[in-house]
Amino acid sequence: MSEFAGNDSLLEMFLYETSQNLEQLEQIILKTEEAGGFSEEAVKEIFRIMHTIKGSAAMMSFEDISKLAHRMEDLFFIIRENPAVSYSSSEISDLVLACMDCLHRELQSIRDGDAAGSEECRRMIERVEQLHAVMKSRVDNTPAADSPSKASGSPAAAQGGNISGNRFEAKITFEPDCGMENIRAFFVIQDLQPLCAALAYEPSELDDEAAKRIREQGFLLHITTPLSRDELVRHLSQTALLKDLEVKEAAQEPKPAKKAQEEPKQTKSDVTTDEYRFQPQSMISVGVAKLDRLLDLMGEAIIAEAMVTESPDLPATPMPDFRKATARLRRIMQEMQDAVMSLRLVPLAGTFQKMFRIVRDMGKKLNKQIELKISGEDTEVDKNVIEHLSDPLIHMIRNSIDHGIESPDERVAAGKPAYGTIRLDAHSAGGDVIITISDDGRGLNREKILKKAKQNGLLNRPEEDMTDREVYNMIFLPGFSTKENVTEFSGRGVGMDVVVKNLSAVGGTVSVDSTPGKGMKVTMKIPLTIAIIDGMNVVVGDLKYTIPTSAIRETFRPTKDQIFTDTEGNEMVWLRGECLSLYRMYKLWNIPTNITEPTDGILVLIEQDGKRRCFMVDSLLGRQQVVVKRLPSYVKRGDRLAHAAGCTLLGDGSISLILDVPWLVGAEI
Amino acid sequence: MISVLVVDDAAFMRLAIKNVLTKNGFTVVGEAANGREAVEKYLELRPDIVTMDITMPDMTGIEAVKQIRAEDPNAKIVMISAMGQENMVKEAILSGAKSFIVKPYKEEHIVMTLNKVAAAT
Repeated sequence: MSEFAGNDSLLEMFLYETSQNLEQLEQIILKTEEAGGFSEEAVKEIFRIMHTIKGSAAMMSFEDISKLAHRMEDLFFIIRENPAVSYSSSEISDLVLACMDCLHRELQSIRDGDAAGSEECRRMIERVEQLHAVMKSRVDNTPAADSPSKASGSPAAAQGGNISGNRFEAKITFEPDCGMENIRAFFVIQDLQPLCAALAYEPSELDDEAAKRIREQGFLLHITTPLSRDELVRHLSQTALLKDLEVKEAAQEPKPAKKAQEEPKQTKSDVTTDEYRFQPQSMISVGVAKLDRLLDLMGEAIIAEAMVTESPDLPATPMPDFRKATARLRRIMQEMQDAVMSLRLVPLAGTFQKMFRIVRDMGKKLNKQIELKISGEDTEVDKNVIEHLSDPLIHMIRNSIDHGIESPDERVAAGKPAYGTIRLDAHSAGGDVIITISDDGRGLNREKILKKAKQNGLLNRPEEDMTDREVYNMIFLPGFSTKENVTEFSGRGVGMDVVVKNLSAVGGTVSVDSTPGKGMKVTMKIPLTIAIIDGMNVVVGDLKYTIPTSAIRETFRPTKDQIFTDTEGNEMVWLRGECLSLYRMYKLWNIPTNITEPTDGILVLIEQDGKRRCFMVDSLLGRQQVVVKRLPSYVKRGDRLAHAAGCTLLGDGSISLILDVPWLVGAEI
Repeated sequence: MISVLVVDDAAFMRLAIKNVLTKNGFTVVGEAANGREAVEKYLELRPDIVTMDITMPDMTGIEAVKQIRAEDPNAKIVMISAMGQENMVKEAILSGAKSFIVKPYKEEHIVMTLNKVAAAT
């Protein structure tokens, strides 16, 4: 069976589908807890999931995973077949969740290329077996529903005597390892019965014992039939996985033996209700690596397109046909790019669902009653982005539960419902996805944060000058934690800045707001995708830069009286009654250029998160979709290129630095 | 060329079976993820053979065997079963399934079984 193990795409599919199954299982368990017990559908569904995992894992030769799933299947089999059996549903939930975690870890170690099958897994199997034994003893009084139905003797065969026809003895041997030999024998009987006047066989009881005997000694048939020997051989040869068949004419009367004639046991219909059913859609799963490759190629194609349509070799004469063709090409490229992007989009639902477990586990541990409400889980983001979201979300939710939500008593005393509520919402806004996590806990404490910030030397401005919002957002600074006691869940102050780091890796930002006593609200803003952006190419001296168009409010050429210098020598520009800082790019980076006066160049107004600054460039080149390439680490040493978010290749083959918007509006220049 | 409809709720299992079949000269003409889909696909595609998982959501393999056989008494269906499902397999056989394969299966077992069932009259 290990012949399948070497197959990469199968392994990938196994890992993918098994994780999906586990996630589904988690949802069922959590729903079950909400409902206060296992419904019939839930039990069936869990049974089915375990059954699927068992089968797939066995196929991949992951023995321990298969065995664990098998044991769980057994456990739920008892519950399924004996609805009356008493058990503690929370005990079983805990066991299933523990088992799930164990399986998740097994899958991870398979992904990491380690051998599957750990000590932990084996311990888990024992735990399940113990519970299984307990449950089994509880139902032992009632007849076990899974006992194999006994073959019953039939009058026709038992009579033995006066039946006419040719008598044969046949011995059937099945392929080794074909499994369920007793059922194979049963199949032969079913098949042969209508053609026989009498039929007897050994072993006569086709139970589990018989499977072993048939495997070792073969299956013996005593047949009385109108068929000739050849006809009989032809018929029996049709048996699947037949290894050997001997048929000889029998001299004697067949020994009276039992004949199979059993009623099919009426099994209950397995149709499940909608609640737990997850309709498989007509989908194919594709490796992320392939999608990444496609995106890379798309990027290259966009650059190549620009290289052709903007080639310096093109004659200056108008070329209407050529232009028409390039316009068409551009439109197709645009559509293709959208299509490629949409392939990479995944709904946030999976990530959001994981949070239920976090809330459940922590609530139980900390004795807090918390309800998690999610909305907007259909919102889609790029696959690469979603991987960076899980940790920050977990962190923020843990923080809310640990620091935000009060204990039930405290809440009731404050006139709030004993149940704390955490809301997780997502929606798209233009090219961004906004995720908010809000709770109705005690909120942030300005004084405490300031005190802590002072202790840690994080305060660099007089505190009276800081707005509440500014104070609150200090919790995201590295090395900050307002909780004196380090708890198991919210770590030791390595938390919040990790959130920021994780998010900025995908170009996202995070901010927090709070109303004391009413709760807090964390807002994460994440770009839909990070690979291709709409950029404005600008020229400074001989160099080219790209500014993300989303951050550009306007571009203009100022008149002389708009420009002035304040007492400290900082240059400013007046724009419709507003005074903005002005920075000359050629001065920032010492780029030689002939255009040194703002009145000869162009000013670009950049805005993000309410912060605005003006930058002077020589001229604008135009707007273009650019593919963001990471700067190699040997180029991005230290802070030398802190202003660059990446680079891109322009149509003429030159390289342009993509300016980092947070740096532009926030850095100390 | 023997045409096969592969029915299993696990995409992994479908892929595994499909790989084996394709490698050994069968044509997989369709896949279904539950019993209901299996019945629809069978009527639409009329494959030579169906490989049918037993435990599936929406409609079990056994129910699907019954419905398919009701529509086409000559339908050839091979059950794919796991250890421990002896009684289910029996019921499937009584409902008209032609043979069965036990998971985890050997590649040659699938090939032999399907060839045998396809050749049977």
